[in-house]
Amino acid sequence: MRSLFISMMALLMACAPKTAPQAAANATPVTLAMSHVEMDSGRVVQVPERMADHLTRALTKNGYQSTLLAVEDYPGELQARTKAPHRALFLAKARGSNTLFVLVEAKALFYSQLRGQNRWVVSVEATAVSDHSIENAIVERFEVPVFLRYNHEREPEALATAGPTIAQRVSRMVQDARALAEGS
Amino acid sequence: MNRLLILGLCLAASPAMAGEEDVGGYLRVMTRPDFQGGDGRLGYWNLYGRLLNEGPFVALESRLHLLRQEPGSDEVWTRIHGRIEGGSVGNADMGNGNLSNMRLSQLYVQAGNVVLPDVTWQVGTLQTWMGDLGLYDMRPSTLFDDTVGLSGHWQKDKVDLLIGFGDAGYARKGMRYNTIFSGGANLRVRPIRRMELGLGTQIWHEPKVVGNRFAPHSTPDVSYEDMLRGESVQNWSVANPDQTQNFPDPVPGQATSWAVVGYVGFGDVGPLVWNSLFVRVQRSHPDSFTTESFDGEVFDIYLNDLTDERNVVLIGDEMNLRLIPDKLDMSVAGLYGRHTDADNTIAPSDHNRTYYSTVTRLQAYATPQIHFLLEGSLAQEISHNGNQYRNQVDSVFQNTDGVVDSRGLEIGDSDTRTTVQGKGGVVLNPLGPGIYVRPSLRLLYGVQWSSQNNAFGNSFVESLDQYNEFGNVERHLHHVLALETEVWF
Repeated sequence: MRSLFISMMALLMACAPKTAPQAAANATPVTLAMSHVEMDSGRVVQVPERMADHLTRALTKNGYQSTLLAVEDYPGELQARTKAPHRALFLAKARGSNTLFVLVEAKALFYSQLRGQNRWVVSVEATAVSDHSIENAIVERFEVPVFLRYNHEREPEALATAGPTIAQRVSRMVQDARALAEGS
Repeated sequence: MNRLLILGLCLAASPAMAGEEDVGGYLRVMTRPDFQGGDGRLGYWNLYGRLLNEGPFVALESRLHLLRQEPGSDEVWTRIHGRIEGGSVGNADMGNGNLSNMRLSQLYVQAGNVVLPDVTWQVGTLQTWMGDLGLYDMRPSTLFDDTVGLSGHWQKDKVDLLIGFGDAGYARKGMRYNTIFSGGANLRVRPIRRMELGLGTQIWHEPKVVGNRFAPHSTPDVSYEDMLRGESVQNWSVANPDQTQNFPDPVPGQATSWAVVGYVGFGDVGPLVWNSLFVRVQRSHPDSFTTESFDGEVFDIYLNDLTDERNVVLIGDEMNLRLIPDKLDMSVAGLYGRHTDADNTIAPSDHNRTYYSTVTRLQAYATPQIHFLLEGSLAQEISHNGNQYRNQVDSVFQNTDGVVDSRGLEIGDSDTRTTVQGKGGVVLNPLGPGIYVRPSLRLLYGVQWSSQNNAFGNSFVESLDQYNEFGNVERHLHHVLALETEVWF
């Protein structure tokens, strides 16, 4: 009877409405620039909202107040920078703020149909810069395999599905970047 | 397997290996101790839902980029895919993970931006499908599963067109290889964001080749019943005494078969995530030959004319619903299949049956990682040519009209098998909620009721012989406990 009661309580607690994490008053400000490069056209577009949400929530949970920079606000000269740290630094300087700046660039490539699901690989290049200094830049490149149920689901769905893993990896990198900035 | 290793070593030694490689795959492995004497599967097959009715499986796929595809670039790119897969894992099934259970099922090279823009060329194996009935682990829209050849896949935002052709001889005939031309196309359109329509076809043609014993032939003057009983030569000899050496020679012919598949998908409306409806209509390819022994001689009986009227109609639908977001999901599926064989009107077989089934799965999320799963299924299989199932322990193996007949072509005492299954348990999903999110670690209990006696894989001695030392057991309920994991990676 007791175990039944505990189980029921656990279930009820699990069903209780959850609230999104709120940034603390003394949260560290961080500027996020997240973009998706379309494979067909090569256009740089905004990442799906679900993907960005995962990262902002993870950062908020770790004590950051994040501000998302829209792709439309990227300066046109950005494309001339071919290396991610240069792009991140250029964007941070153009932004004019001294906060931690994080550039996340992603692309999704179809892999194959595999046992009833569609395997995609999301390639991510994440760069964190602080103090407008390339010496303090941290770059992390990684790939996230994701599986989509339906054939009509394409790059945006792949990116959104990879969101939790990307958020975990990038928020760790942001911690490292802050530690580096504080130590220098 | 040695050839596979050599291939791997050759690829590794190639200068082209400057590319990047990544590996994906799939596995499911489980333990299902069965105290009722079964082999660990709840029922015979996945008509009752894949869950607890499938065994272990592993697939490893490797992709090697020789020239990487760059975003928005019109430069040539190319990559190699190879997949090894099979249904055996060490300590988990009778095959014990032996590599003889594995096969190199897919091997192909893709290239893009060659001659035509937006077209992906593929040479090698060509398997493709438009979607999946996940609860059944069935893909009725599969095309080119048996074909090695060339395909071109043109892909735009709203339209996909794939055209392919090649040879299906080895997949269809194995050691009795004869070229079977295979060609077809697959078109998918997305007229609006919430809908996708698909239509595809594949045609197989096996030409007449005089002199090739593996090409399509028919042996004249052989009835279906004689062939089935293995008595064609014997009965011909009775009708033609001392003429066995004049048994009719096979007559060469040709064989053509086809399949048409359709798909309608729609969703993203209210709680409906997506609904996938598949239809497959198929004229199956005829068999090659069977052998009979008579009077110390072996005769090949060619079957082109006796197996060229087999048709299959398969309709499947699966609906995925998000009933309470992040709390409760449901997946409902239905399947209807009708197999007909106009050549065989006398004996029950898998080519003469109708089946229908429905499966419903509910998955509730206590936390993002801890879920509760409940699944139920109801299925019925009906034989068109008389009894095929043994409902009682003392049902005879062979009968005619319910009467014991050692030369009867039927089996048992019923032409219908009804199966009900219920499954439930706890699921641990490290990556969060979702019926199809993996990896999944599951602790499940399943129960099956079937009208057929002992309707699960087993090693029972079913003989009614008085000298059967093990005795017979009548059992319609079957229980299974399972600890299993499944992951796409």
